[in-house]
Amino acid sequence: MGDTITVRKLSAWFGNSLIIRDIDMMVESNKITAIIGPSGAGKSTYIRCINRMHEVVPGARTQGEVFVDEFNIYGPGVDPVAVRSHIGMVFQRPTPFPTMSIFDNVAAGPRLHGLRNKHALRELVERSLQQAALWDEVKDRLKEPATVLSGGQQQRLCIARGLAMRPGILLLDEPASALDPIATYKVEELLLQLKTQYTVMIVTHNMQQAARIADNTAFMMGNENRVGELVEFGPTDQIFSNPLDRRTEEYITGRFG
Amino acid sequence: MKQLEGYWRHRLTNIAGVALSGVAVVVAVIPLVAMMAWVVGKGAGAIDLNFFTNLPVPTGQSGGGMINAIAGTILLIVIASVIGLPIGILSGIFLYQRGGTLFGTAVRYVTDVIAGTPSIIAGVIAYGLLVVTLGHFSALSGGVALALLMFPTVTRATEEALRLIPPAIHEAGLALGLPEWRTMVSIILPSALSGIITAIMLGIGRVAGETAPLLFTAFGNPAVQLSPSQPVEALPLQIWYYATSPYQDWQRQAWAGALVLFALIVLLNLVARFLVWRTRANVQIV
Repeated sequence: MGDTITVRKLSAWFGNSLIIRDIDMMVESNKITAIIGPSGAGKSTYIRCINRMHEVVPGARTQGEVFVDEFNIYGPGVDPVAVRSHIGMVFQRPTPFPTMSIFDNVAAGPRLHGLRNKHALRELVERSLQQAALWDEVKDRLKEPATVLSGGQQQRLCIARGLAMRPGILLLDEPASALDPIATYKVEELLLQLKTQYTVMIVTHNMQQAARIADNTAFMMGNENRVGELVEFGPTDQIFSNPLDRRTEEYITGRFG
Repeated sequence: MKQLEGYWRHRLTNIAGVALSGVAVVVAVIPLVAMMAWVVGKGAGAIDLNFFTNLPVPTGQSGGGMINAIAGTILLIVIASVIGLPIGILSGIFLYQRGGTLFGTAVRYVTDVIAGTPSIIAGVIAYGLLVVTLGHFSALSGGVALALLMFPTVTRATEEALRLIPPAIHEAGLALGLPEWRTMVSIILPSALSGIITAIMLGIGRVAGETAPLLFTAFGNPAVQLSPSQPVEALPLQIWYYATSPYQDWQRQAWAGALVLFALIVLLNLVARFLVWRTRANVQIV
């Protein structure tokens, strides 16, 4: 089952510049939550705070709290490395590890965390590839380098690699922006299946994509000082058909952004 | 027909650009090929089996070789590599990780300064550090001098090789919950392996032909000698003695020595490439 995510007064900086400010959000478990908004709204920064990836950049820091179920991942003494192993993340461009085979890519997480049992690894890889709807396409060529796969397959491979860590949450930062429409469709279908077992959070530039797959949608936007803020958050239907905030309406109807 | 004029202008600019690049390539390649052809042509005539098995002989006698210098050069390269490669590769990794910090910038600057230091200065440093302290010339002091010349090249080339790996790959490793060191060792370094091999080869190539720093460190030795604590001969030294001698048979031997040195580096390169290729072919599977 997926975890709930509760964000409380989350702010993030790069050096001295404030990127996002005071975000509060309750993300329901086993739902797809989309983050939409114009470029520079801090969407990527925000999602990277949910698994403590934001702080890997020198000079980056955060303030506030993020609870995964009841556990505050920004609590004192919490190891960010351990946090990341419980939350899967997929990036804008596919990131297969270039020197590894298809099998080794999916096995990389558990294996490098110490899982040595060959039988268990095989089962985990097969299960993860099946969940990522990639198994049938690659089962006969698991030894081939991951880089021979198409972009869409590579992206699903990266999803499988994240799932192999058995996370409760899957974060996706514009996972389809580098894919063609058919590959995009496959990823979207996949996410709809995955939400039965995981909590899915997705950043997207594509409003239609959010409308198609997300249960809940958050609209973010930079304020007059270019600091990203959460403008509105609610059920996707309501955000697209009856937005409460004027800025959301203007963005949805294409008046800017 | 304004557009058409524009078209021809762009086309001509393009042709000129391609032609200039072509000329630049030829200008760059000609000296390289000429040098190779010259060394192979001059050296091949002077080389025979004796060259690899025999010690040098006085001028006028036939059947002399450079086995002492070949063995000495290999020993010097091994010592220089053992000292210089770990320093070079590890500091390259450091610059990749922390290159943006003040200390990283300082390290990079100092590395560049050392890279630009005349090689004879490296010899002087090794002389002061080891020859004076130990009281005699040695392969070790020669190796240290070469290591000093080797590591800045390796450092910068390693850093460049690592920077070619997309940062997203690095982040993907961290996002799997892998610690920084694990991401580095298991994902980034293997991805950059062929670039790091190139860095090592550049480093070895940089020092294999050095003569000046060996004059007062490795010093030279008419016999085959494989102890790091004793003086050794080296191919560049022997080539230098022979080439500057007035005897024609010695000068011919110098050409043969140059060819062997050249072949040694090419061979080393091929072996390294083969090793990389074989690791790649054997992608590990459970």
